[in-house]
Amino acid sequence: MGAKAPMTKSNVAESYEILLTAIQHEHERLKKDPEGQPVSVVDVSPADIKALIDAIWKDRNESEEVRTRTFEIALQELLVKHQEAKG
Amino acid sequence: MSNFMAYKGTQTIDFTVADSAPLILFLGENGHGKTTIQRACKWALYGSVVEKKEVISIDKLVNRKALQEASGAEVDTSVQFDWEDDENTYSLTRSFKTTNSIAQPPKVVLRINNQNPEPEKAVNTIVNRILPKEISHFFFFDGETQDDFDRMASATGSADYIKRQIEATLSIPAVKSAIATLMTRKNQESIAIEKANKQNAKISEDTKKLNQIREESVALSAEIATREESLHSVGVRINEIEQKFHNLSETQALMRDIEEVRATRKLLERDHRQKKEDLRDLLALHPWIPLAGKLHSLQQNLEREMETARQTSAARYSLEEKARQLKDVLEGQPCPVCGTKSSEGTDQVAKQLHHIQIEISNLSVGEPIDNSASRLQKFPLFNFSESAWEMARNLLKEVEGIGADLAIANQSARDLDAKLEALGAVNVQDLLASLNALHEDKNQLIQALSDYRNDAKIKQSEIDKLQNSIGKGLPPSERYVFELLAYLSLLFEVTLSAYRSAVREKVQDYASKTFLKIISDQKYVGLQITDNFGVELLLPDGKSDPLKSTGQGKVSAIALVSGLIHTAMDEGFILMDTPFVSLDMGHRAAVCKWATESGFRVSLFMHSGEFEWGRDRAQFGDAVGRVYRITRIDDNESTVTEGTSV
Repeated sequence: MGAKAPMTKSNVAESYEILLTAIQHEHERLKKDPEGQPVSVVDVSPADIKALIDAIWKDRNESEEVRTRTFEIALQELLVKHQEAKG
Repeated sequence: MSNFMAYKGTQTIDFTVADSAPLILFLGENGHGKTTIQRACKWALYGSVVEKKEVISIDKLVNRKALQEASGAEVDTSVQFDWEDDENTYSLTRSFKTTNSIAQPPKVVLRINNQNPEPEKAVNTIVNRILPKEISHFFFFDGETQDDFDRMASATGSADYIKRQIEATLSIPAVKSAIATLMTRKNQESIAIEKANKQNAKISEDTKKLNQIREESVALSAEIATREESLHSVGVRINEIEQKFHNLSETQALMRDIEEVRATRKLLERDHRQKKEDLRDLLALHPWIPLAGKLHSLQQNLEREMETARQTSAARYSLEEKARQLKDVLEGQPCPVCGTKSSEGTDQVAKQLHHIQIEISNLSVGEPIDNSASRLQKFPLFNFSESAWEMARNLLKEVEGIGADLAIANQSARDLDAKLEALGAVNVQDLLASLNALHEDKNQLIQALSDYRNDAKIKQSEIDKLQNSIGKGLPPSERYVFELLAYLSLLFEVTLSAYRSAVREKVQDYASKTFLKIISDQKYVGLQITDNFGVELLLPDGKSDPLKSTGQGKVSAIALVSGLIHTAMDEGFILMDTPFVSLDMGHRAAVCKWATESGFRVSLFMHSGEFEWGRDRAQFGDAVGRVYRITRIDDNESTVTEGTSV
């Protein structure tokens, strides 16, 4: 029987928060200055952005192939949702 | 660990400690197996152990002594690593068998909460999710990692290493992947829109332009990729050369020694040659010198013979005189002393005369004096002289003495050459020239990359404009996806830049706090991670100093690792191998203090040169939870036991 070691949770929660805060902040900034930006800026909600960030974070330690696939799925869901909303 | 590298049989290490005493000390001399414990942990977690950038082959992981004692029978090698987090307990065992010196492929078993083993294929993914391999060297802070960090903290050429580590730690590659996906999708949408608009003349024109610019953009991307590849190669080469420069001071000292020995050897050879020539000249002048020993001995013999002959002759003369006088007495002549005649005591006189005659007859005849003298007189004829011979002997001694010194110098030169060869025979001048040339290449590449990236940005901006223009030719519903993707691409790109800066500031903040706890020089107010991810010392006026000493480099490296760990995880452990090397006592005490207050479970692996239990234990106060002694039984067996006694 080996030894028990107190182990890190490898928690990068704080970094996740930094990233999420940064993207929401940038999103707000771009919304406030929409000149020259596509109209759809306003359609992207904080929840949409969080869903994409979560997809990035979920498989961040996986291979690039896995990461890309996970993100593409989340992106596709977002696109479909918005297209449907547009009718 | 069972039969793992230096450890024969099963060794158990308990890492559990109370929060109030979070430190674990591993005390053992170099080569006794300190690093092996870290390697065992890494192997259990990730299935490979790296030494000097090379993966150690599996057959070198089995304990040799166990293998020898097994005599061809099967030997089990395994490392079991148990840990827990807030929710679960984990038990990970990696093992392999060796039969007849042939190692079988390793197996890995991971049980969570004592349940059935997880699928073997899933183990690496699970482990990486808990303890990502790319950041593992922050908490397995072994000698090699320390070297990397020492170099990275002291050489701006290695700053890229820090950047990569920070970015990997903070999942920036994952964000980049997402941006690439968005761009790809955006371009796909754009192409789809182009197709839909192919009838539109204006759009056709824009599309033509767009295609042209896109081609240019692709060419630019290719150029950028090529330059990035070249830059990476140059960086690798610079690191390699800097690694060689690591041995530079030793090499330079060695080369100085070699120069000195060569100069000494040259002088000795010159003296040796000169003395031999002097000896040759002397021999030409006095050809008898090789026979001087015999001649000298002959001369002494002749002189002795002459002296003996002289003494014999004198004795004979004295005895013959006595005999003549005694004969006179016997023949009735008056006594030469008293002048009287006497017949009394005739017998005694006769007896005495007889004795004297016997003595005379016993005296050796020997070489006639004239003969010896005649032979002696011949010596000056061939210039035989003691002083010339003496001179020749002295010259010969000098030639032999210089010859011996020369042999020693030659041996020293050979030894030094061998040492130099072992160091890789660094040609400093060539190396410096290569390094300068590489730095020049690097600067040119950075400039070229910067130019190309700017061009690429301009092209991308043109592409965006054209894509928007083309997209606007369509009904809003049809260009919606494109616009959404265009916005998300933009949003993620600006976010990545902001995230990078925030992360760098965070690492810098943590690193500065640690640095200030450890460093004794009060003139600094923190560490600064520069724009190109080098490390500098921050002054109160906002200016910065480059790292100047090995101690500063070491402290900066520890501070940086601390900052990276703090950034990467909330709680955890660090295993630090020989952390005190190159630190003076003051800084060692400061590192001890930091270790006790860091909030991490810190295991320190130390040898007696940097830590002595009796002398230094007070520096840790009551923070030491466990102490392990690592002892080498023989070349192939070490043992680790808990306790402070030797």
